[in-house]
Amino acid sequence: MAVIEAIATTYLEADAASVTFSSLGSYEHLQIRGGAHTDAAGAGYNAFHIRFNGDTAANYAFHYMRGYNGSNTAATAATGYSYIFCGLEPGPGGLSTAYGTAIIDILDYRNTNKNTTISYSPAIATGAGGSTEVQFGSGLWDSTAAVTSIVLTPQSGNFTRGSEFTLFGLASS
Amino acid sequence: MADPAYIVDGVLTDGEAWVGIATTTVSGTSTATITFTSPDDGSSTDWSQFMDLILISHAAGEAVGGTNSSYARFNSDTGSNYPYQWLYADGASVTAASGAAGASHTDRIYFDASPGTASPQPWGCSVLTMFDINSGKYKSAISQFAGDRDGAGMVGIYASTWQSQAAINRIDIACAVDYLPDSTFSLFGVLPRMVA
Repeated sequence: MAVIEAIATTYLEADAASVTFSSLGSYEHLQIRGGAHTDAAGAGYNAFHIRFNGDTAANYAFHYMRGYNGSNTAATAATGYSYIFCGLEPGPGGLSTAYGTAIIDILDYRNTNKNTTISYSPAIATGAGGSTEVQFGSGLWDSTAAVTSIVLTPQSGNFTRGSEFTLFGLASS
Repeated sequence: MADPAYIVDGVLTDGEAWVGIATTTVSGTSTATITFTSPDDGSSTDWSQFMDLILISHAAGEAVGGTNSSYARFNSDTGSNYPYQWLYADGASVTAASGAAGASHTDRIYFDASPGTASPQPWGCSVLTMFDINSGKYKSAISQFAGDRDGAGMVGIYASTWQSQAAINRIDIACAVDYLPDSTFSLFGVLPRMVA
């Protein structure tokens, strides 16, 4: 087996409300790499979030540090959420050709003795009005169930055509 | 263009998603610029087949003291077409900064903090990802880096966009000074797996 294997790429040919990966294979860790754009009106950019196994209850927590819109810095922690913020995407007010990016690591996802934890690094360098942001964060799914499916969903609106995500499996043997 | 060698009768034969394209290590004398170009030959390292590129670097500049920021340019574009958002810390404080296209520092993508000479010799390291390099989108990139100067230095995350819809087929890497011998840069291509 390869050390790093591309499991599946979803490259949207039409706007979509979410992206789902449901064949996760048998690896040590997973990684999602990709970029997105949203049709949500209003903000210069939006977030997208991740859920596991279809769990929409308040079983998630996350915290992150960020630099945004110039010299602003902040750190945020939250618990009791129904998702983990993990990505950033420009909206329709900005450049249609610009996409946010994210690298999301999902560690030891098949181990039923641990809660699932992730780390993520999303960024956007050209949102509407020049809005920008870069983050580094972590998230917790308060469940020891093995992760069997992953759903990525925009905070509002849809992922637009051209948004793409690839799921990778990392094997140690 | 012919199929790359790892595709036989339309079937993937190489399961590795990361493909080693090339490593350049400075040897002998210091070097000002490191360049990678796509071979455009249909081989297993032809960039046209990759979704992303990843550059892993471990480098130092020849200036005494201080920190030299490494930067990249794509397809020889020296225009101010690389807006950015940075977040970094120097051991005492955290700083964020951004620049829209046309502003200062937007004629290149900064991705590293390569320390200058000192004793002991410090080295900066970084992982730069360039996303969806063959698409008609503007190209996004993010770098996580650390440059340690034995009690000082920088760590951070840089995000940039190259405002061009052209496929990336050339990367030039440099810093304000020459790179010291043993500075090394490895470029990987990341394959997608399109499934029905």
